[in-house]
Amino acid sequence: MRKLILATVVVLALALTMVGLASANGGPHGGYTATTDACAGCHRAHTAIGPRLLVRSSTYDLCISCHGSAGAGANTNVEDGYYLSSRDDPPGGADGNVGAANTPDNAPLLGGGFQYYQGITVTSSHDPTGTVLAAWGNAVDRGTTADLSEGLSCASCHDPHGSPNYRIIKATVNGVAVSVDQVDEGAAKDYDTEQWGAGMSNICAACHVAYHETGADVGHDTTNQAYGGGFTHRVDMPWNGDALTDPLIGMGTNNPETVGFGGYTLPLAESGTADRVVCMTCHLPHGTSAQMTGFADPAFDPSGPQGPIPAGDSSLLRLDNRGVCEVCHQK
Amino acid sequence: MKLRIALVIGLLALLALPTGLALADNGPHGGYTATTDACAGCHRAHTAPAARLLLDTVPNLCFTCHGSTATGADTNVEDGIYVDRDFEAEAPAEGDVNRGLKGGGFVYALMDTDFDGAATSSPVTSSHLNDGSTGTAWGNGNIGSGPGAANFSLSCTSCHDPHGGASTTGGATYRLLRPIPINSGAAIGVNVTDETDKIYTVADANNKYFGEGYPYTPGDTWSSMDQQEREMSDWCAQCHTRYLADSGSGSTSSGDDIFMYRHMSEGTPSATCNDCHIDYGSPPTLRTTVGPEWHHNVECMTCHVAHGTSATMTGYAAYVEWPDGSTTPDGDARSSLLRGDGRGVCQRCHGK
Repeated sequence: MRKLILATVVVLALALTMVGLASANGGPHGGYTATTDACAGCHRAHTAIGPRLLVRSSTYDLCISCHGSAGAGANTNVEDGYYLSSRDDPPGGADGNVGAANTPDNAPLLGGGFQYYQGITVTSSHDPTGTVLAAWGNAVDRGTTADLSEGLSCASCHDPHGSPNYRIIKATVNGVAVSVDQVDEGAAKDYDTEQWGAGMSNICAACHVAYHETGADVGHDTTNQAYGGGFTHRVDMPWNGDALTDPLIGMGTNNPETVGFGGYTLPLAESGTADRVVCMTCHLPHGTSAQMTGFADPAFDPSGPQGPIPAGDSSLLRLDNRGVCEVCHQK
Repeated sequence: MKLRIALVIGLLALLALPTGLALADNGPHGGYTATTDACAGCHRAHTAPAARLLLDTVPNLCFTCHGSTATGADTNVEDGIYVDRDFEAEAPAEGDVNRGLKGGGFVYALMDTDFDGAATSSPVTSSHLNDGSTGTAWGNGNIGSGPGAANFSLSCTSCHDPHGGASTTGGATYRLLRPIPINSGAAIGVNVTDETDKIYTVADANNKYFGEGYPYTPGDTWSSMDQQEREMSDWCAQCHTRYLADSGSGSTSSGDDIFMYRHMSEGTPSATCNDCHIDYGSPPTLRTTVGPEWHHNVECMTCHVAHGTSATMTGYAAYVEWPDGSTTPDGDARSSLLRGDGRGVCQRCHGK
């Protein structure tokens, strides 16, 4: 009986550790075997200088040691928002170059950059350095903010140990369960051209739920009173609308992803099938260098409920001013 | 008449005394009577070739019984295996023949370090020194005292008292461990409670070393094992002072520049109580999946062996800087006496 119990424990332990239950997203992030070396990429058992036995004093500093401007362990430079095929060399390991088959060297990353993007200083970004931030629409009315439950860091959204979600987004973000299709894994990895599946907006909605309104009437019908009433741009709808779309909205005729407008395009989710407009169609999750001037400069309207928004703040929009509107609506 | 009766009773009592009065650690190591022969096992009064009237220098003397080709002891610490070769027939048996010794080995070890259910004798990749040469005792010293004690000389007798009866009160200790290892700088002795019945080999027939939890004797209660495991960590910390860490030390700074945040090495990981317990009655109800791999305390010996390991290190695990910041030796030499390859010891509990 004792041997049976022992065997059962061993088998269960092996099963849990050898399946690689979370996707291996390159480097030390998931897909662990029973004798993985990956722990030593980020942790020290007895000589750690950061909480949770990290080799850096903070989560952000640790992530940047590979993914930063001066990092050497990852192709994705999230500080400058570039893919660099010359990096990704763990000590003593082979050059992995995850995504190199599909991502040109120096290509701008899909997520933007935290310090620079496309060579320009960012004008707005998510601050991943551990500060407790107030999030717009965080279970409060649109146009208002509520503090997140903890300081925002890379690990607030991404699970460094891997996850079944796209880009190892955590299964629970801000206390909210998040499910988003995992796409372009392994040899298909592509860091500059989106291959988004279903559920992309669920990532953002974990903190900005008040903006995740998917009903057909939210932009024009007073029946939606959730999170402060008023109107908000519909999310997760096909780019060219559906049977429920108000015909007065005035969508353009060109697919914003494949054709675009004025030389600009925007990414859609479930391309070629549902062709959905998701949060990230218009917004970059890490940071943007888009410039806001004239009417688009938030300082133009200093009477917002939270007071003046910093001048030039671009709300993580992908394009200058209201370029994101034009690519779809093509006025 | 009464005096004669008393004398007879006294003599009879003396004859009834066991020859190994104190718990004898086998061979010539303790439990001496007034007319013991044990001294001659290691010493020569007038013709000794080595200092302290020894037959040979340490560790060569030790290896004359405990070495690879010796015949004086069943514990072959060079190859890290138990062999039936001494002149005693132990009852109960003190180990499984040709199975790995709990401490690993100094030259070879028979360890299933990749957890595939099989083990082959392999050269050790890291071990404690045993020949009197010097190294660094990492973490030795108080908070803020740097990476450790440099030029630290280590031999078998630094840790083990060959005369037994090593406790601070003259009693036996587990594996003859000295309460204060020589050169450790420790001020207070740590007595590691001896086993009731000696078991020298790992429990797993396939030589899986992880899950030994140490010392552990079948039949031990959880509370007695808790105490012994804590003693074991306390003892390791006699030399590796700043590695001793309670639960929570992974996120609470010690104040040391190097050993700032540390994995717990002494205590019960309370976050995993439910892994084993359904309830906490007396006695508590255990889940049916609980096996000997799960032990109450996380301690030094949960992850490390004492003598030497054959675990291999690749990738990130092969290039971990030493506490003094140096980066060599690297590769397999960075195995740090771990019981599993890579960071297998982490995965066995954390299962990422």
